[in-house]
Order: sequence, then structure tokens, then C-alpha cells
Amino acid sequence: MTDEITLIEQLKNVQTKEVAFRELISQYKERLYWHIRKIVISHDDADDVLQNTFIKVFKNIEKFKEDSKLYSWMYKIATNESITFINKRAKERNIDIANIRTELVSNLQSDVYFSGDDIQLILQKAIATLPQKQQLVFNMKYFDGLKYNEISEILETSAGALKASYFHAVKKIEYYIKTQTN
Amino acid sequence: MKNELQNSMEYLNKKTGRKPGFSVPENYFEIVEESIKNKQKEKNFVKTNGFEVPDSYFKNLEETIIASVSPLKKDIKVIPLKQKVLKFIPVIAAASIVLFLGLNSFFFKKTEENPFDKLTDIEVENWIVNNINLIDDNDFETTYADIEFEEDLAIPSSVSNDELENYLINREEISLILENY
Repeated sequence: MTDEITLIEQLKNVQTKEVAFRELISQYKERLYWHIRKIVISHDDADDVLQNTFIKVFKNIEKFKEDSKLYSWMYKIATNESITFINKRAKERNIDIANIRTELVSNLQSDVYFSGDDIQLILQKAIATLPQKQQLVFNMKYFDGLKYNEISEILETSAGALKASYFHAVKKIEYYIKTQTN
Repeated sequence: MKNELQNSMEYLNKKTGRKPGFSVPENYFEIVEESIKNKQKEKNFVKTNGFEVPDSYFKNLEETIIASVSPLKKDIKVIPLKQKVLKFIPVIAAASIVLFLGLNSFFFKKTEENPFDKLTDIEVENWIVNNINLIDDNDFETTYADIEFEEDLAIPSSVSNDELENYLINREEISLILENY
């Protein structure tokens, strides 16, 4: 596996860009996929957004200023692509952006690519009740294990605000699960 | 706050196993790499077809089209539809009457009539006089097979008007006809 600095150099070099890009995909496809999937819910949509994310990375790699980690930069692109996708879907279906995830989650039970049990379904429904930013923070912290400063880079929000956001998100989800399971 | 958060996290971990529950199709991550590569290649395809237009072409196009249709516009007379329709009513009425009468005579008459029966003797004689040069001796013989024509009744090839007049006067039936003519 090529180290990040070398990989960036190869990506910015026309001669080696294609080969480096292939390696980039290989290294980061699963991490980016799961991040996207938790936002857009459906596998097919996640697949589309993932591919679009990598295309965007390929096209804009020369603009990467290297003031953050490569993965953080890609994660940011993936987050923005996912949010844009979700917002577009909400507009198409004439649904409020705040409610679109609730609608997407409502189909999970019959989704072929959802193998979670009842509690996991309740958890997804609980997350869907959160405001969009809290959903992102919760997913990145709880499932992806990112640090607050990493999330801060991606969401361009202060670490302090993120901590508060995460705290409220966890409390709401706990309450939701307790009311649904008792 | 920290303890409260920790307790809540412990509860969630215990309940959900920290798993979101999502899954993927078999071999998805092997396949997705190729999909991304293909998509990236597709984006690199040349988007232009190489065709070009003269400078300001689209800018001037609208004016060009308007200018070309303007002369046609002046010659067009606008006639109200009602007026047009009213004009045709008498014609339609007359045509209907003619059609009715025509149909009546052709389809509703029960007896078959030979149109030649309608011809009067005068019409026949007039036709003979006007088309004498078309009639042959044989025509008379064929048509009036049961009548013996006398030689002097045969129409000579050249007859003077005086001779003809004398002949007509001397034939009683023709004289009667001529008197009434």
C-alpha cells in the first residue's frame, strides 16, 4: 500500500494518475461506501453516489491543497454528494428535507440489502428522526469512529458544537429505542 | 454530561451491537472498482462533435426567420370562419338538389328505357341531314333489313339541292313533316 503523500503525488502526475487512481479506489472504496450508505440508506443509491464521489475526486485532485488528510478530503466530498443526493430526492418527491430520511428508512424492512434485526431497524428509524447534521455527526462518531477534529474538518463545524450535537443525538436515540421496545 | 453520555452509549452498544444492519450484494466491492473506472473513462469521452457555426449565428437567427416570414404575413387576408361557411351554404344546397335528382333518375326509376326511344323523328331527321356524308347505303340496309329500298331512295353520292328539294316535296310523309317543322 502506497503512503498517502506518494499517492497524492502520483494522482497529480498525468503519467501515473490512472494507476494511482485505481489504488485509491481499492484503498478507500469500502470506508466511503459505508459512510455514504448510512446517509442515503439504499444500496443502489449508495452505489451511484460512491461512483460519483470517486469521479469527482479524480477530476479535482489537482485542487487538493493537502491541508488535510486525503481521506478527510474524500470523506467531505462523499458527504456533500450524499446530502445533495438526498436533498434532490426530497425535492423530486415533494417531501420536506427533514422528513426524507424517515421515508427512505420506512422501506428498510422489505429491503433485500438490510440484514439487521428489529432493534437495528428501530435504531435506523431513531436516527431518521434527528436533524440532518445530528444524523451525520452520530453516524460518523458512533459507527465510523471518527474523532471530533476529523468530523470538524469534514462538516466545517467546531469540535465543541459537534460534541454538543452528538450528545443530543445519543439522548434522543436512547429515548426513542426505550419507548419503542418497552 | 460525560457520564450521562457514557451510560447512554453503553445502553446503545448493548442493545444494537453498534451495527447499522446494512448489507451489500455478493462481490460488490470487487465489482465496484471496475464500475468506477468505466464511469471515469466515460466522463473523459470527447463531448463535442466538432461542428461549428458562423459568428453571431444564433444571435441573428431569430431576426432572419422573422424577416423571411414578414412578406408572407402581409398577403394573408384573414376571413372570419363564419363568413366562409355562410358563403358555401347556397352552393351546398344546390349541389344536394342536383345530387338528389340525379340519384333519383338513375337509381329509382323502375322501368328501363332505351335512351334512343326518347329521340323524336325530327331529331333523327336533323341528324341525318347534318351527317349525310357519314351514312352509307349499307347502313340503311343493315338497319332496315325488312324494308326493300328502291334504288331511287338510295342516297346518291352527289345530289343537288334542287333534286333534293323535289324529292322531299314528292314524298307525302316527308312533306307533312316539313310543314310542321
